[in-house]
Amino acid sequence: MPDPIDELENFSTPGLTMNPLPASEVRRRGTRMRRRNHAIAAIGGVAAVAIIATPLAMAASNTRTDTNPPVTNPSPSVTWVTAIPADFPLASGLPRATAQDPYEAQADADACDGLGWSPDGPPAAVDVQQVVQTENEGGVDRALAVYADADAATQARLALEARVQECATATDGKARSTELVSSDGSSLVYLDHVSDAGDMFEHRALQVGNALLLDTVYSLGGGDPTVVQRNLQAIERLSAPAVDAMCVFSADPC
Amino acid sequence: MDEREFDDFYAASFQRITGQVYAMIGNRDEAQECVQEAFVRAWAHRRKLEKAEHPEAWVRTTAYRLAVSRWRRTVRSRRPADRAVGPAFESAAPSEAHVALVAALKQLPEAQRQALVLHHIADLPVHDVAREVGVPEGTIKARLSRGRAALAALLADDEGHAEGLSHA
Repeated sequence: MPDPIDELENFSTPGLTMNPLPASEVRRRGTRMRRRNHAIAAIGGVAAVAIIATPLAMAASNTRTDTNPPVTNPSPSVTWVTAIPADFPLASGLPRATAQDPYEAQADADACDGLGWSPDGPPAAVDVQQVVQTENEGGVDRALAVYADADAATQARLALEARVQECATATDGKARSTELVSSDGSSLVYLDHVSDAGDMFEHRALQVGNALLLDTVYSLGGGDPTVVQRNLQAIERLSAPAVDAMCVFSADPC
Repeated sequence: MDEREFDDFYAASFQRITGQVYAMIGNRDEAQECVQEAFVRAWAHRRKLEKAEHPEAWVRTTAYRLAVSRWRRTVRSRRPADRAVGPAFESAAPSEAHVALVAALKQLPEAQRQALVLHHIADLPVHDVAREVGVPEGTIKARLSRGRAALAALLADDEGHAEGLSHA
């Protein structure tokens, strides 16, 4: 029987005639990629600011911007917490996170127009905070949105899920596509595949009471369930203190 | 990382990383394309790459993820060609032992194959493999143990099959 370790350690690549690009060409392509990414991010950022500026201002004055009928609370006696406490641990697990104000969506990542969550709804959030941590490539983005009541938060979550499902059907098999990974009565996980090379944004939206926590991570490996699961585990681990603290937004606050 | 440093890094490590990724995915052309793309990204993110403790590991991981993603997305798109496990790819005739090894590696579960390649071909210690893959060291040790046993069995089967043919 051959020793597999000897076989492995003597592994060679016969016939491996390498014709790599010249280093100068690799650098040229890398520089072009960097410029393109910056341009996309800048366009997305400007669009996001323009889109959310008015709704946020209105939300700050507790003015509803949606035209949907007012939702009915499960219990008229519940008084929902509608402002994010000053000591809320939004940046838990993200030691290098910085606050992003006003909220800025990663609009360039959306495979379909108007896909991602937005504080202007409908229904509109009444308070929003966002933190961003930049990593070696991409980063982590977390936002907490508080709604007038639990029905409004549920409506926002279900609307997001509906948009994801619709976009997933429309973009199946395309380089830029959306994929719903999972959903249940309080959360959904979905992917934005942004290139044929496997770049993706993985999103989780989690509802507790009248609040939604939205985590987004960037990674390679789109389409690989192992990577998707690993990203989700990282999101769950890093956001655990924030999720625990969201009990303040439940019908029976902690 | 300035241009000269990058060029030296590229020249010194391109073939090595391509060989390692080839062992992981079993397709030489795909490996070369993905490593090439990973180096493009390395230059695009060079300021961040400078902070990486092991730039070569960054490129290898990026190339491997690109390869896995391309393969998964090819499957998802129901394209006829399965490039990551595609047909013959050698431009020169490899030895029988090499063919057998590549074929055996392809039959292993992805996690075991990755651990074996990183530890025995890339020559990384277990704790570096664990860090690169993102799992505990114990998990890597278990994958290595199971992978070695499975590889030995596959190579033995192949040898037995070859002997059977020669006796026939």
